[in-house]
Amino acid sequence: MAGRKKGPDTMPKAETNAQLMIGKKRTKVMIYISLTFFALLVFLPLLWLFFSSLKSQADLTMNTWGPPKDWLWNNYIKAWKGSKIDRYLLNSMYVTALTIVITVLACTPISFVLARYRFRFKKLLYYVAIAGMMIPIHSAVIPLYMMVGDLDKYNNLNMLAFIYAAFRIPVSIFILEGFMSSIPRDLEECAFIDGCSTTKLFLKIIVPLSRDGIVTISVLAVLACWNELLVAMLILSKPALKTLPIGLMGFITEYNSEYTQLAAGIMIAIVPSILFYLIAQEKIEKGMIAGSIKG
Amino acid sequence: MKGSWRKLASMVLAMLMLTLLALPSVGLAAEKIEIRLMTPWTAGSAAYDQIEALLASWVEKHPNVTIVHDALPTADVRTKLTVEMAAGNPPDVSWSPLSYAREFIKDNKIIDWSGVFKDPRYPEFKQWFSETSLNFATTLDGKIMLAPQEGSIDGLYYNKDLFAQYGWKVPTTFDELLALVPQTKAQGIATLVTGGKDGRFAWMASALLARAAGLKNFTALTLGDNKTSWDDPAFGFVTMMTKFKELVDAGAFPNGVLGMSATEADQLFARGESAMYYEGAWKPGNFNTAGGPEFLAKLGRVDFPVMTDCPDGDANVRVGGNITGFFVAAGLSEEKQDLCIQLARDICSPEFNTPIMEKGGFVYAGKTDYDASKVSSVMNELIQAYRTAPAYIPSMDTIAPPAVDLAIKRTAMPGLITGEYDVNAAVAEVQKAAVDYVNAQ
Repeated sequence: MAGRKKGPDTMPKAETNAQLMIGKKRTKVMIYISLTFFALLVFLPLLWLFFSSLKSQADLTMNTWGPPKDWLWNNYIKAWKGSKIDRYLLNSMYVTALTIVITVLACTPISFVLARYRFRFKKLLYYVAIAGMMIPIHSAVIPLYMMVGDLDKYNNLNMLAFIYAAFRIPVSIFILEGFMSSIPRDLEECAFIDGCSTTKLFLKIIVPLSRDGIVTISVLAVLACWNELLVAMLILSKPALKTLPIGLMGFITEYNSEYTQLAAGIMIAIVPSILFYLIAQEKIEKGMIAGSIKG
Repeated sequence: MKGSWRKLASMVLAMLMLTLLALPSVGLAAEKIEIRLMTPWTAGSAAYDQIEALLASWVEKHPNVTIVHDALPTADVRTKLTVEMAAGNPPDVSWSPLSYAREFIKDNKIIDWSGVFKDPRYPEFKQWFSETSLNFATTLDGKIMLAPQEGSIDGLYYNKDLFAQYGWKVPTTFDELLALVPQTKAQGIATLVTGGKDGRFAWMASALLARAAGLKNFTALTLGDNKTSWDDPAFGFVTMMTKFKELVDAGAFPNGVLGMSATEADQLFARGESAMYYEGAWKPGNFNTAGGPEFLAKLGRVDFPVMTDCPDGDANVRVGGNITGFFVAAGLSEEKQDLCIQLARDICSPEFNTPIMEKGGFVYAGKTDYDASKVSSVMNELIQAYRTAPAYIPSMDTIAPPAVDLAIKRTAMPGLITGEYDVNAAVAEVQKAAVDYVNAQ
């Protein structure tokens, strides 16, 4: 009897397992539904942009949301040739790359000193360094413009990169100092016991261990520089030196707005960002997550 | 330890040297004269090909001159002009609205054209432009700020097909306009649209103020001795805002008009979702872009409706005139200044502007014979309206001090639309901006 008797523990356990399975499936379905929803949120504007880039202006007016009636690939040629997008793209890439180099070169040693050394007025120095975060670039345009004029560096992409870097440095120090502070001191002490110099400690231990932080500040620099319009517009006048946002704005005027060519231009402009993300995807995600925990 | 420091130092030095080598060699061609020209004629503009061709031929004619053409959308030109003037580094030649030029000439940052127009070396200006056009940008102390180039005129554009289809009457009075609102709404069509997001209410502000208060009061508020009398009912601004509120309350504007760019408003109009559109003379080019030549052929133009209950109001004045032009920076060497004047002259010439007008780009301010058959019927109506106007008043963004203009089109009128302000609060916002502006002078 006892053998036929359903164990009071086994039956509820089986039910629990089944419920768990169903629960897991439901959770999975919910996760997939929400992920699909968010993927659509990102994808649909891109699809609309792609469709718009292949329409005629009248088609865009009359058929704003649907696919193009005639697929006008010519819009891409017009956008590429008509507005010198190739040149603007190169200029933007150059400025962004140089900004990253300057930001990383400047912030890594400063953050190292602030994170790993104890000295008088360290806190004060740290707050002075990050106080720049409070100054929006737009509030400084007139003094910046005058300073660039005094240096005779209008129409100079390197100058633009230095300005961008200057506005990236405070937030980058803030992030990187957090990363470097979290590296265990034992490592540093072991390195010194093994005869490591300060330079070697910085270059061989601290910098490699802060790689995720460096990626984070680089990604943030890319995001800030790639879309910046105001300072670039003020500093650069020569058509051959203009950056992508200025070039794209040229499609919109008071007299005439070439929205379809603008859409084609934007499609071209986002290719480098997508490539950058594809190449550095793993590092970017790692850097962002690590930053959120450590920062 | 020592070796590591050396390595680091040499690395930094190498990077510095590389950076210095990469710096472009600005200013090597010192013998050449560089003229920096700023215009709103970007790649998307109807004037783009024309200006590029002019500059290419100019450089060919003047081998020692290089021209840096800084082409930006109008809003960005305004921003850049403001910063550059504040920094004392204006472009050598530039397109400019009247209200900006007025600020620049106060500080002697741009040349006075009155001497140039009298100069026998430049007889063309008197041949191309009427005395009224040449003097359009005259300050109270007799200085001329800008050389004329673009003429402008307002238009209450209407879709002739829609009006014929539903038997509507094109409004000639403000009461008729109000009466039209329920008729268009009954068909699910907005009565009137303009690009609220792009600050296009500046034109409507001028039209309403001219009809409500008349030219004398308008000029007194914007240029004269009553710059801080916006809240004084005697000057008509309160009446103007009340009239605008009546339009808003009647539901004349489509939902979301404040978030609508000029292009989105064009598209709405082209889809037949609005019966009328109010703005300047460059719109036919935009309408052509939005709806093609078939849509352009459906359009007509009338003056902004008259306010029969406003005795001070001016029934005939049209918004427009010469509201923008070209300045030349002051303080240049004599040779460079002459070259800049010549460049501005060529940009203001009929040869340069007529083809743009025939493309539907804008109305040229000067005298020119154009091929009317190349131009749409609505553009022809605009050109005629410009040429026959008994009087002009500029749009608010070109006549009022910039801060006051912004308070009207970005704060007061939108506040009435959203319901954030009543008429008194809206007027108070403008008054405050005007007082702040005058106190800062």
